[in-house]
Amino acid sequence: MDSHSQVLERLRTAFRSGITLPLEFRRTQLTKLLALVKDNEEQIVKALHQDLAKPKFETILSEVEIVTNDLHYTMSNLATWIQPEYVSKNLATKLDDCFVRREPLGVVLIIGPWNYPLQLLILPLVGAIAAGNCAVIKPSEVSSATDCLVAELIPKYLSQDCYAVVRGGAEETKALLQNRFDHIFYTGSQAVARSVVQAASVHLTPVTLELGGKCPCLIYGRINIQAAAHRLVWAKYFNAGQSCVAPDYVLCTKATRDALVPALITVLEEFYGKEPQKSPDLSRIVSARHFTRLMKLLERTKGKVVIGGQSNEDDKYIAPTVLVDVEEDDALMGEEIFGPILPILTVEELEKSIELVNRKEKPLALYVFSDESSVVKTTMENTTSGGFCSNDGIIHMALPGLPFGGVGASGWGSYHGRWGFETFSHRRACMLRGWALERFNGLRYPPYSEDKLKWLRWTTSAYSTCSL
Amino acid sequence: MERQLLQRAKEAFVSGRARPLEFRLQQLHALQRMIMEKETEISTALKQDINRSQYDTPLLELIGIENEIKLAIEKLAQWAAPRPVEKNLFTISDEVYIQPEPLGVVLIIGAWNYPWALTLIPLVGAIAAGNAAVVKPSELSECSSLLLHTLLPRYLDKDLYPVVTGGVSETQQLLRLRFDHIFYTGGSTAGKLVMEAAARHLTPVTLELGGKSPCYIDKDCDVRTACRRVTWGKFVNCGQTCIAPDYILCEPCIQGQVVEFIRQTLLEFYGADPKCSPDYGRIINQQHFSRIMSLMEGYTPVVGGQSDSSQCYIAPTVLKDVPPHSRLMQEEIFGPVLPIVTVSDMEDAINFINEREKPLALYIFCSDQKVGLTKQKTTFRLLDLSLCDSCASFYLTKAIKRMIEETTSGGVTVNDVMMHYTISSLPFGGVGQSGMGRYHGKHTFDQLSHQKACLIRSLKMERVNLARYPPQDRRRARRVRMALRSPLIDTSKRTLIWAVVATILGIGLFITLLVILLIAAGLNCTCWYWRGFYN
Repeated sequence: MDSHSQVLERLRTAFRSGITLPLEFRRTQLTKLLALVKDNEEQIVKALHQDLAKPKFETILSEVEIVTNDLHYTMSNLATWIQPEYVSKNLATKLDDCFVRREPLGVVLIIGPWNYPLQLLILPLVGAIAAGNCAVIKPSEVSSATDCLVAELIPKYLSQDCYAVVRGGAEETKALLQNRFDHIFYTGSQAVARSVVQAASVHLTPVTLELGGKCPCLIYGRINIQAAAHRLVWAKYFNAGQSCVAPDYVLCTKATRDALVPALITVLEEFYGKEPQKSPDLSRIVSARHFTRLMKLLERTKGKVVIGGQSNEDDKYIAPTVLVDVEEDDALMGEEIFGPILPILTVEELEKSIELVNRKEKPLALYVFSDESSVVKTTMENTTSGGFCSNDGIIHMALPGLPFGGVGASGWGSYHGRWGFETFSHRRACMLRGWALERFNGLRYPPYSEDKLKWLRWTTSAYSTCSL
Repeated sequence: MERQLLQRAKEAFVSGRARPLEFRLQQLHALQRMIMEKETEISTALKQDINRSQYDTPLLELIGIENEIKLAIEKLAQWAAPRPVEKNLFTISDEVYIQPEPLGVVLIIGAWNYPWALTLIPLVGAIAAGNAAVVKPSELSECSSLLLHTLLPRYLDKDLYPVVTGGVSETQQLLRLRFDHIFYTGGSTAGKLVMEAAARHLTPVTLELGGKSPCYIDKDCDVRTACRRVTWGKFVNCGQTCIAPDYILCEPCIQGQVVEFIRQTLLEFYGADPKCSPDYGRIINQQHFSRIMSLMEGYTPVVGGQSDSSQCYIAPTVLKDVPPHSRLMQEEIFGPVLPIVTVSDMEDAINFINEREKPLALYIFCSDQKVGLTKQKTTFRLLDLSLCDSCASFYLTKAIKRMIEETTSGGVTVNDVMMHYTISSLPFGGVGQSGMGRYHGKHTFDQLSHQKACLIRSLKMERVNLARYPPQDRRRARRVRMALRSPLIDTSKRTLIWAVVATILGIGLFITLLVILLIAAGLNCTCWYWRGFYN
């Protein structure tokens, strides 16, 4: 097994040789990545079932389809994205060529998490390959079956000189981060993110952080409660609540809550049957450690369980659970839940809910359910979050046209589609001047005079402006 | 004290008054007035700080700031508006767009070499994006720093845009606090410390750092004009510019010419004794003066070399045949000392550049061989017609193209120096050790905004959604896959062209068919032409 520095040396040599630059190479690698996902769909389903008891439908949708969509989107647009972007100029530079080139950064590091172990590792990789970089990929050891699968498949399909998989736990990741990369893409928790940025600062490596947070879900105004309940339940209990963009908690009035809870009961039964543990469509908690964490939250909460609450340690199963009468200072409100537990806080006014949300850290996503557009508009304009979706959950991240990323404590940077390409590119400003008009240049040379200055002011401040 | 200022700025931001476009425009207009009304005071401060000539100040700083403000005022509504994006089948009836939003309180740490431009241009973007900003000018340009501290509260909102003066310890205090973005201009060493401090609060950073910007002069180009342009770029502000050409790379056969042309140009610009020229600056302080002088130790300059520590004066100096591993070639010079390193050819120059850290700027002087196309291009350019990419690439000679493609840098200017800084539509920033992030014009606005992804759906048409809910089966799964497929329409150029051509052909065929049918049916057309014809 190569050491980290050997792997990096190999990748740097490959990058320096320029092999990743031509469009055909990038296209070929992306095509191979597409084949990797398509050919091995069954194994992917199996691995994810092993790791998270993820149902086949969820795997196809959230691990296979989203990746193949992004690959198709990237491949059909890459030729356009690579083109130099010509920009507007001022009078002084009218005869010059001014454009922006997208250039690869070099060798990038992609660290994936365990909740969507394939998607959150491969989607950044798509952007990295499209931008012409080499990449070190570090899957999460917590989702061990997928970790094995990725380590086996990537070298089989992609160029081994340009893309390498590095496996290991926290210690190995720390050691890996001591090395110098040209960009680090990290998906995971805030605590680890701090040490990633600190390690990056030693080499002045730019980072993209896809973190999490408590995604609030506000339900106010006139509302079709059945439809809202369907979408809320789907978004919340998808992957057993282990999604960075899952609605973490609900804020609504007492009346809405009283209508919502029975609707939730109906929908949960519709989705998972009377005994959710037996349903093939519900995932499990990823590890014993997280299971214990969630059970402790349930023990410490002062809220009242109105749906679910059952659990089975051996199976790492927690029933879809809903609690009411949860206050702002509750244990469940202290950290990102990341599990199938939904607290409902009762706040009578929308404005007070917005204030509550704004008191907390900026979330990765914010949801509003309402049939009244004024409610949606007010919430959107008075809060901030990585992404915003009204009357649905999670689905905004399936659109490759939208940038997916956080703000504040939920992260910085973004990706998906063109945004991934831009994240892993350097936008190099290029100006090609001619040799002619040297007399014109004379305006800026010493010895200076008032006249020269007047001319310069005029020529450099035409409607497409400039500085200098 | 810093904590209180930050708290006040935060409260002012949370109150929402920085958000409306009218407020932002009002603040930008006020900043514009400040620059126009106080030009004399600013020039005086800069003269005291760095012996900047009264013409260099507007040229190098004020015109730039004014243009950025004008652009922001003109384009603000456009920049702040929602930006629609493409949808898939599933979201076809929804609103999908990106909404730029302010981040909160931004910390702007300025530099001393262009104390006004490097502090106020980021501030323009911060204001335009609707943020509050704590401005920390560099203490090394003391007069400018104090003047800014006095002036800014007189023109802008006192709570939203406080100025903090002070040195290293005040900056360290500020860096312990939590901001929503830190915009730092300065050296790489301090840049690392800024990023490390920002890591504690997971604050994103923009770092505008420096490096050694190489300047390659090809033997076949117009060396005289090249040297004029390089001389201007190198010695303006006494070499204290982050994008100044740090060193020259050229072949030994033209080294003598290069030295001679630079000497002649220096005479033309600053006279026989640059110390007496009102247009030549000084080194900012003793510490930097000593630093630059020590870099030259052991080398005999071929031009200049004189100095006067009492005035922090170093004459415009050129050294030739500088060894690549000398101290002069290890750190950014940031002074009026220009080493020439010889290389055997362009390939050697490319390797030399790539062996070193990625610079903030790269300069290439090379002749345009394809003169024939220039006239045609001139007409196109004047009419501001956008040329197709393939036409434009003809202009890029093989040599220039190769040098650009085989190297990397923050930015490139070919056949001149520093000019890529002057176009606000070009993103200005570094890569690798020369920095991260970019700004100028709309780029500053985007850098200091959060691009919020928005999907506005309705609760109607729930039946369509039913396919994605459990319990799941193959038929439902297929329907969902179809609905989420992207791209909905393949909008790549090739497909678009085929689509347009196919549509035109289709319409043409349809019209032909119609005409044939009409004639065959022997109908009396309303077309007078045909009537006339048959009559």
